[in-house]
Amino acid sequence: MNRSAHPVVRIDRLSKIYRPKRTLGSSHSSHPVIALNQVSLDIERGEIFGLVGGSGSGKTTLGRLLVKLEKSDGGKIYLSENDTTRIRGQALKAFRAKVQMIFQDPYQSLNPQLTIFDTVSEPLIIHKTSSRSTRIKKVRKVLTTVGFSPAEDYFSRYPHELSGGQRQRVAIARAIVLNPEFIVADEPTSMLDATNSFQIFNILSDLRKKQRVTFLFITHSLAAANFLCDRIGVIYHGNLVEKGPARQIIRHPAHPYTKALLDALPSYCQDPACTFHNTLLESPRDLPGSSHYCPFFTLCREADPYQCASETPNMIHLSATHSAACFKAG
Amino acid sequence: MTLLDVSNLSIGYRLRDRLIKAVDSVSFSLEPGKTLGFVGESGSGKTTIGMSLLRLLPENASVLSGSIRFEGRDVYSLSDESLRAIRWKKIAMIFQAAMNALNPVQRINEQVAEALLIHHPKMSKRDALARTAQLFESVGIPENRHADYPHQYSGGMKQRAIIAMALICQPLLLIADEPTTALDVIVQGQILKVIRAIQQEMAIAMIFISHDISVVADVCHDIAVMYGGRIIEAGQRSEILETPAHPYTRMLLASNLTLSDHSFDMPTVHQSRKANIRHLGSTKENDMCPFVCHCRQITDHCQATPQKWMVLSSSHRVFCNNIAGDLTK
Ligand SMILES: Nc1ncnc2c1ncn2[C@@H]1O[C@H](COP(=O)(O)OP(=O)(O)OP(=O)(O)O)[C@@H](O)[C@H]1O
Ligand SMILES: Nc1ncnc2c1ncn2[C@@H]1O[C@H](COP(=O)(O)OP(=O)(O)OP(=O)(O)O)[C@@H](O)[C@H]1O
Ligand SMILES: [Mg+2]
Ligand SMILES: [Mg+2]
Repeated sequence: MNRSAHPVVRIDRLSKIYRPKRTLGSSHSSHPVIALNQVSLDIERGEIFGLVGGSGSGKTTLGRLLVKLEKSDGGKIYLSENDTTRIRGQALKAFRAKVQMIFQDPYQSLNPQLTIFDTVSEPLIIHKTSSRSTRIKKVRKVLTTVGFSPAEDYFSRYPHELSGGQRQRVAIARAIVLNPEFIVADEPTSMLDATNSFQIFNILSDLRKKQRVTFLFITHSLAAANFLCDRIGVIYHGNLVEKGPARQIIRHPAHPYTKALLDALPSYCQDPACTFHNTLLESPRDLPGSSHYCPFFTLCREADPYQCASETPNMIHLSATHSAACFKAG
Repeated sequence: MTLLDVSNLSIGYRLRDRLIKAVDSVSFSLEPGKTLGFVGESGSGKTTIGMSLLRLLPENASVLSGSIRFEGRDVYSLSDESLRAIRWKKIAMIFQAAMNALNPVQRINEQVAEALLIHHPKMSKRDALARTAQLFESVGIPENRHADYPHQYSGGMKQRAIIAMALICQPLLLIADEPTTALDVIVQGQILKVIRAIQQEMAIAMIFISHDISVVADVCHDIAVMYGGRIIEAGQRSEILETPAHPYTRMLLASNLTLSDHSFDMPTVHQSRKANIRHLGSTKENDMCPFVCHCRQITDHCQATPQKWMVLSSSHRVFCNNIAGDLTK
């Protein structure tokens, strides 16, 4: 199924389970959350791969595993054919310079004690890449790139003195200042108006074009993914349910959950030529009694009461590049 | 009676070396049960306006001029006691990124019930929890997750809890600052539906702040478009969406991403951006167009003369004196 023999990033049956901590003196028992369930995908060099899915579907978890902020509970991640789960010491430091994440929430990810200048120059200091004067130049350049102008006006400000969208642009500046090879961009424009997010998308596209930076672009909007991404993977409750070329997914979605994501876009984002699929149940049906079933069973209007309730669907190839995990696909 | 009337409001922030004007001569009003959407660029002053309505501006901010009247009373001359009677009970706010503010060591339903008990000390905890459970049900938090801790929730579920918390005292006016920004489209659609239902049920008025015009288009009766601290265009939903007049509004609508093929001519955002906040002190600049640095329709006239409001209909006005020809195109 690999489109290319040498993907930059290869994710092989990656799983992550969050087990409830028994702290806080509580007797309340919550269940472990399967945040990722055997997810496999490849990203090629210079590709923008869109990971699209609902809240809590495991997108950020996958991003955090990719940049090694968290350990997996199974499966492997390869970066340029090297198993990243094993790297330590100097190799790990080099890895951290090459792989960056733009965090979803700039309210939490920016250190409130650091000025904007210090925030953006910190990675340069950690990786000892330059003198102070080059740092100033680099910070100015990268802040201008993300739309602060004149950049110096913002050097001495603190995050709380910026609006939400301005913080988000600082987070982007920080992630690109080291010229990384691979960037996980977790909802990087969720707080920006359309004209500004358009500008950011152009910045990401440019980085890809000029420096062959590879991206995992995380979003919940298929409209954004449609514009920016080469390929899209759709994830639902930790399960990759569909992947393929962006246009193909938008025009010919195969999985009922992908269809529901398309339907749910505000009417102002719809394509008049696209049909309304109506695959989502208003209220969920009960879980089947069996231990194997389709993860989307409870919300799927099209579910087969027998097959979908007793078997877990595997990815079915609909074409060389397009696959979906649904019995009814293809 | 008009519920909220804001007139000529200007707000500044003190920085170490200077003052910046974040909100500039903003006027609008809101009738009971109506929803007004604020849409615009990041940093254009939307949150600042929202915070000022509740007198919750940060310490380095000050109202430079103008007035805010809620139910006919000037909010900035209320006593602390009268203010307490209004805040949260009559005007509630969902803060931008509020979900980070949930207490990590307290169960979510208890936090929400507590918010109710603070304002209704005589209510029993059991009743407060029951009311919380009801509201959780209507914002779509499944029963078996009501008593979780915040870290066990995904972003979307936290936001549902925050919305429930804002609604728990049944306010007359809800200020929702980017309430769906952290949510996925499916949940966003469901939350907008919930908000609409509650608007109607409680006859609640709303100020709905979002950078996303497609979301604002989905829930608001009226829309105010902001740029650089100013409202630059305001009107009924259909006027703004169908006959946008200001070059920024037009650009905003044109860069809204859709499921269509994006092969059309995309608006270029000028890279040579000047800070979109003007510094105080240069009063002459006050009525200049905030959009001059980015406008494609700019003329010499725009840079030389102060702008005036142009009235396009009884509800539609635009802060640009260079409106070209037929707006329906
Ligand atoms: N530290 C944690 N402890 C326990 N559960 C967690 C933790 N982090 C995430 N989860 C759970 O794992 C699942 C996946 O969460 P994740 O943050 O990856 O989702 P997401 O797709 O990024 O969602 P969103 O669009 O809301 O950001 C959710 O059910 C979440 O509640
Ligand atoms: N506490 C503060 N101190 C100084 N300046 C501030 C402060 N808070 C906001 N600002 C500035 O005031 C302006 C308006 O900010 P505001 O948060 O109101 O914008 P916004 O329209 O809500 O933006 P966003 O869509 O990004 O949330 C911005 O230029 C911002 O940098
Ligand atoms: Mg996330
Ligand atoms: Mg804001």
